[in-house]
Amino acid sequence: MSETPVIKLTDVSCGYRGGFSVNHISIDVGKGTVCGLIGPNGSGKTTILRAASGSLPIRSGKVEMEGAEITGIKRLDLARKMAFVMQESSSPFDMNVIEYVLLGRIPHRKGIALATSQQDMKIASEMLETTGASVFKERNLNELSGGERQLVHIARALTQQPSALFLDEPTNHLDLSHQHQIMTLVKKLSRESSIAVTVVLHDLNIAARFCDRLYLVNHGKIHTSGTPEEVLKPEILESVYGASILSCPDPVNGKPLIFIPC
Amino acid sequence: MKNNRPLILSILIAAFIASAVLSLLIGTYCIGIDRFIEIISGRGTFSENNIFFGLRLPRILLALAVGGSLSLAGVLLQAIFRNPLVEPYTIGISGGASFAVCLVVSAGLTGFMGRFSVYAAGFTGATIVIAILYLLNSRGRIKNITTLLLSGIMMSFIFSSLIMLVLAFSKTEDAHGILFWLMGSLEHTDLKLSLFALLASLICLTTVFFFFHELDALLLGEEQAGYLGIDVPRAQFRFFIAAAFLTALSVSLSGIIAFVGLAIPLITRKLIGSNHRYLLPAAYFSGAAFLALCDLAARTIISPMELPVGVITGIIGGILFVWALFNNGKKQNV
Repeated sequence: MSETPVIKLTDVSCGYRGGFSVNHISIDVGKGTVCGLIGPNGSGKTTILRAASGSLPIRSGKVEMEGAEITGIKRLDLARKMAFVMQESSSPFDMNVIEYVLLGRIPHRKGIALATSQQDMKIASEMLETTGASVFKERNLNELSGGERQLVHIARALTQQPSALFLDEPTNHLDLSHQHQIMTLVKKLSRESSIAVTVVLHDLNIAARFCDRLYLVNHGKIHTSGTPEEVLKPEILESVYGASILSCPDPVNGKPLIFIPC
Repeated sequence: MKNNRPLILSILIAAFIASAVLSLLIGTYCIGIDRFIEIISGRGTFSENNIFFGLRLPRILLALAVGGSLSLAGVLLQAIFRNPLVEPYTIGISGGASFAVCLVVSAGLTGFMGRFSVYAAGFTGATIVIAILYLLNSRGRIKNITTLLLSGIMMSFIFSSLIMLVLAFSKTEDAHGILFWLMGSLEHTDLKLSLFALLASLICLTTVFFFFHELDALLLGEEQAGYLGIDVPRAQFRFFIAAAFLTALSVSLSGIIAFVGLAIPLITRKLIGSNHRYLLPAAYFSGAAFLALCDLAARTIISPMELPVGVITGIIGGILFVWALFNNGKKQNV
């Protein structure tokens, strides 16, 4: 990784007032790579993601976006460079899919724009096509299934035209087929659009298959980092998860396959 | 349905104009179209001019201003709190205004200061509540928007109790006056005051309209709106102040007029969706038309006597609200 990483965390410590914190976190996410944050519940994965995206102030260390310190970048400029898909969320108000996806163009508004520009509409339509969500573009967001909604959330994030994309447990509550669909899309986006993707995942087999690099988080610290093969070793996982874990190479792609013996 | 939004908005603006004209023509003394044209071209009789310019026009302009203001305030507050059940009277501002009016009336100040003392008291009471909320916010006491909402609700409860306390110690005629004010009335106004209210509410509508994208983003939640480049605390506070001003204006001039700020935003959302580019003007114009028509009903049902307009809006607004809630209820997660 010779070029400047899109997202770089150097010795970052941060947390919530009077509560949980993460310490001494260093992470690099390069152009066109998918970086996975894995670890037990409450280990600090989402906190790291929020610090990396600038929404959680840090106490010490440095968060950089394309070589520039994130605190020095204006809010709107940052929103043009990065997008965040939060854990499954719904709105208490009716909103149709195309309107929702067009919200991703807000950071790119120029002056007092009272009407949606042709350019914005074109980009939103393209992103709906890319994610395969264009078939339900006229439907109400709250009527969609969890998997369909997740595709729409990603389309909205892509409409921001980011160079860094953050995803917080995008496969949560989804069936196997949708988990696969979402992660294949994420991988494709990182490759074809050179987006630096940082994703929080719980499923270690999905992490093994789709991530280029993994950071195993435990008790607010990076326990191990490296390629899936380097991180997903039974002895490492057992020490973090506290359970007996077996691993063997996936017969299809050779990536580690993790399971808990009965 | 939502592709027809410009058409729906045009219909609502037409309804706004039609309700205003209808209200101007109908009343205890009905004015025909021919006389209407004569009056507005300056050729009306003395009594016609008195009724039209002295009583009816100021009252209808005030109805339009207050209806539009309350409905607009409802839309703004529902967006910043992400809750379709929040209305202008939830946030304690009306409570502050009502309590101040109660004090002024029971202290007998209306006797020598006239109607102006009621307006001044209402606006001062509302402003004090806004100032308290502002101070709490600026000193970092209010950590998030839910705390602001809860502070407002608690202030409403405190002021309701204080109003009951004042009523308990008031003379019967004062208590009667306070009760009538609390039920809402558009009767006591003049042309200048009504024009000022209408102009102020329209300026507010125009100002917030330029920030419609921020309201859209706020519907996604504070964190997600931040990721879209919105300065969330600043946006929330800007809309809160606009809503508070609109509520203070309405309450001080017309008392408590129920349900406009809750039912009209809900129904307008059903008609035109949650995109604020359309929702803001649609809610303003439909709220204005709704209150003008409710006032028409209040003036004419038992003419020449009048019903309190707040009672009419409460009944009609409540029925419409329940209808909107159950109609197509699967879609709306209220």
